[in-house]
Amino acid sequence: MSTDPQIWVQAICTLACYSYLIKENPAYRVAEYTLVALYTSYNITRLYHSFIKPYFINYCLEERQYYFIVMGLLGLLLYARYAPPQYRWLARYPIALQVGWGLGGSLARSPRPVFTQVADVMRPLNSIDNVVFFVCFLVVMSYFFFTVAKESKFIQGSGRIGRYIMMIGFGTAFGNTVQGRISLFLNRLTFLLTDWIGLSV
Amino acid sequence: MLNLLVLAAEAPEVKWGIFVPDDSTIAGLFLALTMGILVYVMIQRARAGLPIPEIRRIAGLEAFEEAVGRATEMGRPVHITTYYQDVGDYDTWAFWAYLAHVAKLCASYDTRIINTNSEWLTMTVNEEIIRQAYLEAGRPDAFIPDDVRFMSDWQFGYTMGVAGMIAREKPAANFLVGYFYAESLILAEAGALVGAIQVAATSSTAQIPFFVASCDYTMIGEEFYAGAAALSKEPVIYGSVVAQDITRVALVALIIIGTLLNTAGSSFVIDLIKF
Repeated sequence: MSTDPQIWVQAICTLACYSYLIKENPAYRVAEYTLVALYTSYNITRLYHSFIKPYFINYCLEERQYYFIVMGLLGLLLYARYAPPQYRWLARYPIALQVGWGLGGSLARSPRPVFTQVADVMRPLNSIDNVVFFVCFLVVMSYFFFTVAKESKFIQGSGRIGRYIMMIGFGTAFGNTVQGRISLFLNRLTFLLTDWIGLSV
Repeated sequence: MLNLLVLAAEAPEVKWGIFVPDDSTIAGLFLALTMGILVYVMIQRARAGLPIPEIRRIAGLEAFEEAVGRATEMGRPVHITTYYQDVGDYDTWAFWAYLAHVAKLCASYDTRIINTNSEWLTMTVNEEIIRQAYLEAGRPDAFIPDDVRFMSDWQFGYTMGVAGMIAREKPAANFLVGYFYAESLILAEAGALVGAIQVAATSSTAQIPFFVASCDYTMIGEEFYAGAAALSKEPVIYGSVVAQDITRVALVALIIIGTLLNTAGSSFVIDLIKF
């Protein structure tokens, strides 16, 4: 049995997490709250050093780049949702700004990766692999026609075959990942048996 | 040395004077502009009540009402969540259509709704959506702000928190809607353990297999967005989905032509797309 307290903490936390498989219990709850609290406290410290210190203290106060105050004030407006009801609408402005920035960024970045994939799909039909790929591509795509030709029996039948093809793909991905998860579990089991209990496996 | 090599290298030619010399920059711009015009036209048609193509029936959408109904009968809450999605992500916008639908159902059936979050800004919008649903149902007092919960913005802190909450609150319906990562199977298994009826909708192709295996209904890929449009009937979302569908069909037609030309030895379409 290990005498290292760090190994003991790891082992107890691992067992507390796995105890969830029997039922929800106080040990799991302690592990859950500890994990969430640890990350929250870590994150508060990280955010202070990544944002508040450089942008407010260094740039704004020390280097006198006062325009950072505008951003800070916009951020503070988010707390208006805790204000009396007549002032809560103020919290919508920073959210609107964030939404606009996010959607604009998505729009600017989106078309190119799509075209890279589209260009890659157009392979010459000179091998069985490419023909199978092309046929599978067409039937799977037809499953995702929601408005155009939705009454067509051909598109409906093609979409049904597309769904079966996707299920084969999903099954492969599922099996692959389950194997990965089992190896993660084996890693934990090895830790418990060798590092903690001290068995030679 | 590396700097010298960079300086010695010939400067890449800028496309049309302003575009970076990467593949598909100009073609991508034209696609964005064409789609923008198409989306605008379809939204205007939807707003004006002019005929636009209807979205086909999506299996799984009816399951939302069925699941909320079951939760009401059992007197247990409904849980709905999306993983880390910023307010600017289009998955979040689609999620909000589902959230509004589920919140309206819960408010009208007087069923408790729990929403867990890992993104604080999205959480504030979620809270407003649920509050509005209760207000519209004439039950503003039934809305419980503490049921819109922030778990953690760290993936497995959030996952552990949601799994624990599901085990304690035992929701009868578990809706997993949006873009998910490795937490998908853990959340779905937590729901399965308490016997919840589970509906998943995601565009994350890597996570679809887990939802298909562990949920009662799964909406896959683009079905997630089309479902949002069908649920909300909001002209902006509906028009966008119709425009996307038309673009998708046009791209498939382009791919067929391009593949046939490529087989015949011409790379005209590929060059056009890479322009």
